[in-house]
Amino acid sequence: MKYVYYPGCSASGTSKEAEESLQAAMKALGVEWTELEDWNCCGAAVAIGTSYLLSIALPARNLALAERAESDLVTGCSRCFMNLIRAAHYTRKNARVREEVNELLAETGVQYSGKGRLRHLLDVIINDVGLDVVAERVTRPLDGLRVAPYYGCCQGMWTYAQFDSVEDPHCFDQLLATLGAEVVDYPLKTACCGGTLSMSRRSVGANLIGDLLAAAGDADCIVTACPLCLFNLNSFQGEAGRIKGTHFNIPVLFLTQVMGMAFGLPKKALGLQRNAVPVDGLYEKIAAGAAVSSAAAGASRPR
Amino acid sequence: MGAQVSTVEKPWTLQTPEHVLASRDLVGNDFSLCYQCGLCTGSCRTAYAMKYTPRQIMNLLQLGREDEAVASGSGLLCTACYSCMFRCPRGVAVTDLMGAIQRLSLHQKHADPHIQRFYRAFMRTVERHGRFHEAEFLVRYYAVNPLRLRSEFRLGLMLLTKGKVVLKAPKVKSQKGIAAMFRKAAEIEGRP
Amino acid sequence: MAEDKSEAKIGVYICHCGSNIAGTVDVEEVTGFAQEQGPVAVARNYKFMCSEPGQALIKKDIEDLGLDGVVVAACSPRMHEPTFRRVCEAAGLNPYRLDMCNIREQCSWVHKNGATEKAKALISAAISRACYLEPLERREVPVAPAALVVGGGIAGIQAALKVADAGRKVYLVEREPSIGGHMIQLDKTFPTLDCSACILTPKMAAVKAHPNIELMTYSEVVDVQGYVGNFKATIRRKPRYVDESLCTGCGICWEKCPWKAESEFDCGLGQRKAIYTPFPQAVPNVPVIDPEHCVYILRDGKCGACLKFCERGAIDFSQTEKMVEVEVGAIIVATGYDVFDPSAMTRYGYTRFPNVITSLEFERLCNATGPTGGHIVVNGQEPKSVGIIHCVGSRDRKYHEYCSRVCCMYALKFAHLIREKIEGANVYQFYIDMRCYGKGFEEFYQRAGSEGVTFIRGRPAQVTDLAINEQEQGKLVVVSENTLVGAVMRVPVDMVILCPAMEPRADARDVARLFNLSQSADGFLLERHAKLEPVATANDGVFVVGCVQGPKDIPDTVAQALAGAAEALALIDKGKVELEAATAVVDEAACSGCKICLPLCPYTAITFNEAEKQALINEALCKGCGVCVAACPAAAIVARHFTDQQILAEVEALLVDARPATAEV
Repeated sequence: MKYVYYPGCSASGTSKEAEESLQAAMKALGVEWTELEDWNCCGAAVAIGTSYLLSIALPARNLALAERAESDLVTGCSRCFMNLIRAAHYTRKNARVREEVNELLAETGVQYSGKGRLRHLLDVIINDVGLDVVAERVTRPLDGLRVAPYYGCCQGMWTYAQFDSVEDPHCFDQLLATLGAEVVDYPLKTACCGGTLSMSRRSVGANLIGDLLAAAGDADCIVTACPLCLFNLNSFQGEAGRIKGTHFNIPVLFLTQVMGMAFGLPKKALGLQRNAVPVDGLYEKIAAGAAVSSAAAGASRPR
Repeated sequence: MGAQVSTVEKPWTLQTPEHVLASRDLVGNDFSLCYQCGLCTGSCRTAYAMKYTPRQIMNLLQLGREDEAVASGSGLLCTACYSCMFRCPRGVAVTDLMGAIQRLSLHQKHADPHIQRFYRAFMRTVERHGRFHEAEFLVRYYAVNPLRLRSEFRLGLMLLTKGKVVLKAPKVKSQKGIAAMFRKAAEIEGRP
Repeated sequence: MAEDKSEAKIGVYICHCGSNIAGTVDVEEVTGFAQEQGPVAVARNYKFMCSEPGQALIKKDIEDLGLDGVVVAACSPRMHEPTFRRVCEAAGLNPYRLDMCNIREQCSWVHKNGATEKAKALISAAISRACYLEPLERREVPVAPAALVVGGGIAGIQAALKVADAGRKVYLVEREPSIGGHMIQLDKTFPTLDCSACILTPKMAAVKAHPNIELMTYSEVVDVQGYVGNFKATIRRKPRYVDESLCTGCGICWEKCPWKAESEFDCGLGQRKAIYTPFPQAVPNVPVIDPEHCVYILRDGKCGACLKFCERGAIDFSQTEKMVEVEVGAIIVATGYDVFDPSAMTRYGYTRFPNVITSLEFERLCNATGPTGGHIVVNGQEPKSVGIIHCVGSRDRKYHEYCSRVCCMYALKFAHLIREKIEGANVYQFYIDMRCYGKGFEEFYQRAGSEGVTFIRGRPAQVTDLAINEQEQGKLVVVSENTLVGAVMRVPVDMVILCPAMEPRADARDVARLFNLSQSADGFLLERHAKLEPVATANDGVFVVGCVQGPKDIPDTVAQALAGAAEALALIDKGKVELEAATAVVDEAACSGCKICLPLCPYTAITFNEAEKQALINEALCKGCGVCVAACPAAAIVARHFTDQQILAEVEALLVDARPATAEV
């Protein structure tokens, strides 16, 4: 499988740990890719509010570059994925949009014809690599760790529709279970975290984040599939707590960080020191869980 | 008893939605299909904070009164999570229409200044560098009122100490071309 | 008839149709043009050709001028071809010498400019064709004096009773062990709050007792051959393993049977035995043995409790499936509906939360013969508050676009029943529109309101068990925008009832194929005309009644059933059917026996005569669509009334002014 990887802007800054762990974990799975050369910002949730054409042309440029490289384009950022696939959809569907977008793209010397395949990280891990391969790489099963899988919202009609269910997806649950974790029922698993509202309208953003943190109940951690959700759920627990009249202190990790933990990769490689809420306690839980299961296994072995 | 004159100070007049249908920015004229069931609003995570809920905005569009929707600033609270558009039983492109309202709102004088500045600052860095440049964005966003940074002290400190603040500008080969894309888009869309 | 066009005497009649045609087409100019054509003896125009004076004009000309062909330029032949054919017949002219030319739907209604010129071209073509039309005779076939009713719900029961009361033989076939359909599962019915079983069981008993009705339950129609008036249906009678002639319905067998299964009749909420009748008032009151749960059958003779205890020796494990053939003149299809399964809509939590149930399940809870003896109980407790969600799976282009018609009314009924059975219960109706259109319906709506039901206008976004405050702990919360107030509400309730859409049966397509019927876009079986022929279908002699044709309530179902009975009786009582003559005929001399035409016929009208190695077209089934005519490589099939000669004459007339394209174009 020839992939070209689209990192997205969050990867290098506020969600650096997502990017670091992603590279480490995918390398451990033997997935090889090259970074898309000369990629540009996909427009996030901001372009749609400023210019319709840019909201399609900015992601379309990346699609055009991937088309030229004749590869499947993979991204680990859900917002990027959504923007890319939305751009592909509207460009293919509407001749006028296609014409005007290509007029813009001509300014950078590329054209987009609508071909080429876009893949989400979870799709690649589960459907291309396969959960059996993932299971093989697990050296430290996450026994005893209760995780809440947070799919995020953009995973809806643009993303999960491609390879899972929109209203009730399960792929992430399956992956976490393969890593040995106990996946809790997380009722807000596809509810929006508020996106950039955490920065531009704090009261609303933090309220949404508070709902998500509260819904995790007594899970040991929340695992996200989107770098922006990762940033939001990590960075505003104080504010969210104030709004909800409680105190939140729940670790929030990116999906590849948790994968890397189960693969036994070094903490630094996974950027675990960068998560706002410390995650060391989780290692203790995993160790305790492992002790319990080995004791149980020992007890059942005949003497 | 003869015609009644409205005693309401400012009568709420209906306008035919033709100008809305013709508007380049209000992409998709399928709001006429909306039968006001409210499923979009029930699914919306930020509707509680909006003056006009997504359903009400669809109704305003049907009545040709998008100006009310724009003036309310409600569109700026849409996070584009697409829950509403996915579930809409009539196939109305709710999210895309909210995006259109956002585009109209952002140019209004009375729009939420923080959100307005956020969008402008973000897009400006993308225009100038081809990718989001965090440091420049922070300057642009907070420059107008640096005192706001005070409330972001903890957040800033956390990002700094964890090595998540990037001061360096991204280098994109086709930066000039991308800036040209912005100019072209403004030209085609008739924006200043 | 007239091989030489110049000898023809054609009358041309141009209708104004008020301003429908005359408003766009210059009828005087066209009349003048027609009069000039060679074969035309007379050309007239009139305001409404289909009216009595209009018809009289034509009749008089045929008689006085000895016309041998008539062209009527007016609306679509689908409207008035029969009218003008009757006029020709009355005047002594063979009706197939009439050619109707459509200058309305295909001309004046679709063009603003050029309509007059087009009308002239169309009429000129019609005149040409009329010269070559052959007189044809209509054949008659007899009608077997019996009817087959497929499906034993209220629709089938009512239709069967009416045909039987008229003194005709009826075969009533029902797939389940008992007749009664969905109606017998209901508790009370709107708007009168009649107990469903109380009004239905007398009809069921009447069916059993009627000397003219042969009731075949636990049976299915597997094949239908033939055509209107002469259908041969093959019915598979599944083995009950109980001898109907010996069984008294005493019930000792199911009392003693140790093996249980989920009760389909109770929607899986209760249980039945392996030998069972689905409900106490079953007709016939003879149990069936379910081979998938009967241990005697599964484990080769183990058990046998029923055998031991049956005093009449009615248990008979040696029974096998039987095929029965019946000959009938008319078939009434009344196979009913299925209920949409809301598990697909995960946001409502059906199957995830045990206290989210469907309307049909609620009917079983309310019903005294149901699994809880008529007590509304969920998780062992009586709900103090209930949310009822309308339009689940209907009015939604992701599932069914149509409105399911009955849900608003039964939701009101539920509200009444809940407040009657549970004192002080709170009932919340989540609706988009209240559709209370029938007789007594609006009054019923008013009554519900006065009984203290809360109406919240909004389509709920989800049902969740995630509580955000004290009030919501341990309850289900319905999250919905209250569109009248303009705010999102969270309503904590103990139970949620979903109103799922009525949808076509899962095997609707197979049923359609079996009876040669079409389905409409929504999957229900298609009637012949939405307004004027609600029970007839494209297949003459087969009628669709009840919910198989579309969602409807009991009064409308009964009305349709009676309509179906009337249609069947009209056929049977007349005793004969006149077949349309414009059908296709195989020229035996030219047919090479290649069989290309056989599978192409959409009406399965073509069979193959092995002995003669010839294709044979059944005149009664043939609709004259022309597919076989076009496909035959030997041009051995002739479409009567649309022969090559006739069609080519039209084309030539249309193209008379055409010039070959120049090189520049």
